[in-house]
Amino acid sequence: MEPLPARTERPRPARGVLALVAVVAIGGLVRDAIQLVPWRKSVETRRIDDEFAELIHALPPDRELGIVVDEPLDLNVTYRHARWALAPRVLHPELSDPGVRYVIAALSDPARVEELCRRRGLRRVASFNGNALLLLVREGS
Amino acid sequence: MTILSLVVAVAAIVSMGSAAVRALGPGAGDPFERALRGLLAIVLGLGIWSGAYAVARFVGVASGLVVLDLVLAAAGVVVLVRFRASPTEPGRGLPTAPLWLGAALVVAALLVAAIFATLTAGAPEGVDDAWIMWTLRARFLARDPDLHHAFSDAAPLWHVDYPLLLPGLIAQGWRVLGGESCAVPILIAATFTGLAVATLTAAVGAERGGASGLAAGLTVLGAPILVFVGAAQIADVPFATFLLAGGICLARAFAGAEDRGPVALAGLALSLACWTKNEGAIHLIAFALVLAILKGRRHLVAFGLGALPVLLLLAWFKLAYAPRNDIVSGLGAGSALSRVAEGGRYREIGKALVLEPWAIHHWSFFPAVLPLLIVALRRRRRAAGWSGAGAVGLALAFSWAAILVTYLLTPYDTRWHLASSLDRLVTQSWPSLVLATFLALPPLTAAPRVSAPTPGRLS
Repeated sequence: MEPLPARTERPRPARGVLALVAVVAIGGLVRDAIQLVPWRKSVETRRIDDEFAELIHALPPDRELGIVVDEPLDLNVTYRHARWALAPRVLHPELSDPGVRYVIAALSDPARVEELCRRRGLRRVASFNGNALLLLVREGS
Repeated sequence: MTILSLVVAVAAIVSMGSAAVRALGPGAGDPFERALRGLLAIVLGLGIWSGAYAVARFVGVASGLVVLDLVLAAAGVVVLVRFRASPTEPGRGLPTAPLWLGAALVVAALLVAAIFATLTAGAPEGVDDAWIMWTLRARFLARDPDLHHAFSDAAPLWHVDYPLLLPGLIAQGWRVLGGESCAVPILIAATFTGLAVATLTAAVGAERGGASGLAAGLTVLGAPILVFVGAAQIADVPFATFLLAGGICLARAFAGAEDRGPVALAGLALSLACWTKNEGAIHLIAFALVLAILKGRRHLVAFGLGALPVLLLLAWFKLAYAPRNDIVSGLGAGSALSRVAEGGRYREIGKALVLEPWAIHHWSFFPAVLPLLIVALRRRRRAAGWSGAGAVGLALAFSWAAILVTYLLTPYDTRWHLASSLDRLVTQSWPSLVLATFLALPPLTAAPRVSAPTPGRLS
């Protein structure tokens, strides 16, 4: 009688480790899916470049600009957006660099703009986004 | 021109990466091993491509970079021809994977891809840190021939001293595609997230068989933060991928052969992690320590030689362009001593280590993997001395000891520093931790056994 062909046994995974893998993977993936909804609602999707498009069009070719905002620069959203949209221009706080001619102002209080212009010898060149962004220039430039 | 640029860029990445992977020596002919080598070639090739771009920019070359890609592609081909692949070793008869496990990984990967796509649709520019730091720096690289403006102190920019691997890749992508599309950072983020999972799966599969590889892939996907941080378009998942590549190569060096090629490749991978984020230096030193303790001087020299080119580039960047690091500049000897003596810092660090991994926003059940690693490593070490898994685990332990000391000495508020960085640091180590765990475990399935035919029984 001819011998029957050899049989290959099906591999059996180690159950304990696979159970742990299942706990980690299924738990994590379900949580991924659940977290998706609140995450989407909290995301800011405004396109920063659009916000600054008109201002960029009106800007002179100066490499360095000043910027004035309501809060310290590190905390201010408009400053972050300006830094992104205006790259590779270098933004100086206010007029700290004497070589800077143009200043971008994003101040919530219009009275502060007038006070700034008087104090630093600036005049308004143009406004954008309903006065949310102002382009100022040093008098005599 | 765009298609030509794209073809030449891909050729540069693949040929340089493939040339580097030759250092692994001959490999087995099984599918996981072949996949691993291909994936490592892409990971390392992307890093080399970005590093070469930085060198070109540092010497003042800002245009005609397609020529650089041609040179890279040709150099890679020369290395591949000069050092021909050794004959492939026969397959090692590793256990195969059950089909349902493969199907589970595919379903999990599709779910994660859908989550990645949804997150990206909600935030095409990534999270704030992405465009404030990484993509913004790429804009400077792409728009300004004078690199110094990108690192100007005139306007404060968060972590201005971070190295340029990710910004360089984005800027290169924009050059190749001919415009500053947000598709490039998205594509890079998706590529590295996929590479982290696929490379881990292939590496474990090549060493421990298909079931272990697929289970490792499932486990790494099970940490929600991997896809969240990946889709955020920040540098932590690319960093994690280079660290993982280094761990895979380090483990190979402990696989029995005396060949120092894998050690040199680990050096290259770790130096690319250094070129991605500053904390790469911690992991590089940890790997070097492990090699010095467990292998000796010759392997340490090989590791250093592999890391040297990118470390020289990093030194060039730090000396010529980057301002001082904020943490390092806040470390005075006196103030450091007073921080070490603050009991509150220890409490904050301990609390974060205990609570953060379980925090619902980030981690789910991932800490379950840690005890498994410790138990498996203890058993394995008793049985066979230091293995690749033990070496990777020890390197991670050294790294985390240094990270905790950094938290102790930080000039920032400890609670704020932990809250803003601990989850990302764990993300960076997560694939390597899963690698060490699954390499320490025995194969999840036994090798297929051929049983003797039973006389008179029909099969």
